[in-house]
Amino acid sequence: MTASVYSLLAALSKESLTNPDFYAKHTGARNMSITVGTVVSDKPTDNTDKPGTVLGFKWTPINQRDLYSKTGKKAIQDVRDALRNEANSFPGLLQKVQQLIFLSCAPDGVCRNIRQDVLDIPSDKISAFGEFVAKYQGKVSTIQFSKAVLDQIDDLVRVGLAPSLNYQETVNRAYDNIHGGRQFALSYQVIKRVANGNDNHRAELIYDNGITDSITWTVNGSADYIDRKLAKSSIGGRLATEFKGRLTSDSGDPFGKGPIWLSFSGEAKWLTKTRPQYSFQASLTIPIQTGVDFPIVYRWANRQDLIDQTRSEVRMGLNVDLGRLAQLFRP
Amino acid sequence: MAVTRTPITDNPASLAISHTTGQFLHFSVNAIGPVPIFAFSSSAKGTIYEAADFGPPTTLYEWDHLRNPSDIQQLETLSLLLSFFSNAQYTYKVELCDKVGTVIQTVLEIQYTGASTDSAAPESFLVVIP
Repeated sequence: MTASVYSLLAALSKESLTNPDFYAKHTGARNMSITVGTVVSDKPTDNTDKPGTVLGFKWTPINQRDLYSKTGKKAIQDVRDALRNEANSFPGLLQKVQQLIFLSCAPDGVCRNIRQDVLDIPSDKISAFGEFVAKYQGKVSTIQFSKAVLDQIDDLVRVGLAPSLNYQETVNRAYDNIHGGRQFALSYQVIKRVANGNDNHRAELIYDNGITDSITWTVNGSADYIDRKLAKSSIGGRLATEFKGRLTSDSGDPFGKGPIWLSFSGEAKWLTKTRPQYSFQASLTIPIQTGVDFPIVYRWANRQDLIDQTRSEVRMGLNVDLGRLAQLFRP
Repeated sequence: MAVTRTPITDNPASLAISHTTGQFLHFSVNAIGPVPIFAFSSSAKGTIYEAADFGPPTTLYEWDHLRNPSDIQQLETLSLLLSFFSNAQYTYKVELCDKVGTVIQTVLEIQYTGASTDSAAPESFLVVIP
């Protein structure tokens, strides 16, 4: 079980995880997590068949994906500014459209085919205008629009739409900036086994950086130490890196069809008493439908596990995400 | 993903307010999420309040409108725009009050749920001074 220190503090303080005040005050706690649990042991590998105890922690000292990071604060400020601009013009635009429809289509919702040069409501029609707006709330589709009125509404909306479009662009950009923010994490995990069972220690560094909105670079390095109580201990390590690029735009809909991804990754593994193992992989993932992807993978390795021979292969298959796929069948 | 809008008391679209008897509107926004972002604006004055005007992020935002005679404007459209970028759930409530602040009528009460990249959700009504 892994839990963030933030969620533990919230539970102990009986605070909601989404309490804005609590969230703002405990940014550091969101960047720390602890792991406690058990793991099955295998007699030939672990020198015991009794379960091991897992203890670990992860600390993310650089996390530009948090809302209270420098990236997050800038994203929030950009969204606030864009919303303020949209709010400045929105009620005025809405009222102009309502006035146009009233002047052209009152009282029965059948519009005359004329353009309105002036959109002011005469003082003796103010009550009637209020009643007309209330009458057609949620029932605009029942109004019989004329071409002249529709054209004039188009003109008004076209002029007034820019702040709304700007808000959406700002939100999408801010979302990408946060999701591509730099992350650097350190973690340590130990599996302790009783009696003569082996203890496994792993220390790990993870660096994740969105180079652009659509390209992410990840580096992952770890050092492993196996403490064998009845034999010589072994030391090993692993270094892996991956460039992942999005070739098509993301709809932003968590239940929509995903983008096409291209990735290149490499991995090197070392362990005492064995030869180093290197591998390279390139993959192209093409979404076919919501929750169904078609991956094409090329993989090369200098040798397979414990077999001293070079191997390269191409694999194709289907990845199915049942959770997302199920959304297609929801009423 | 589109914003889900669930009315408890639906928006009347237009509302008559008797300013001569001291009636005014009381607004509240209840937010569930780390950083609420919203803006309250008028067709006459543009943006009047933003979430940030109320200080650090919190769960309940409240304000009055039309209590001050200088606020009173015939045919004013009042809009609240909600952003879901950093806050997933809101409840927006508007109450019509008499001059001493007693609630006469709940004008609207609506719950919203959205995702980060959703468009801003607008809620608007027209104020008519009889």
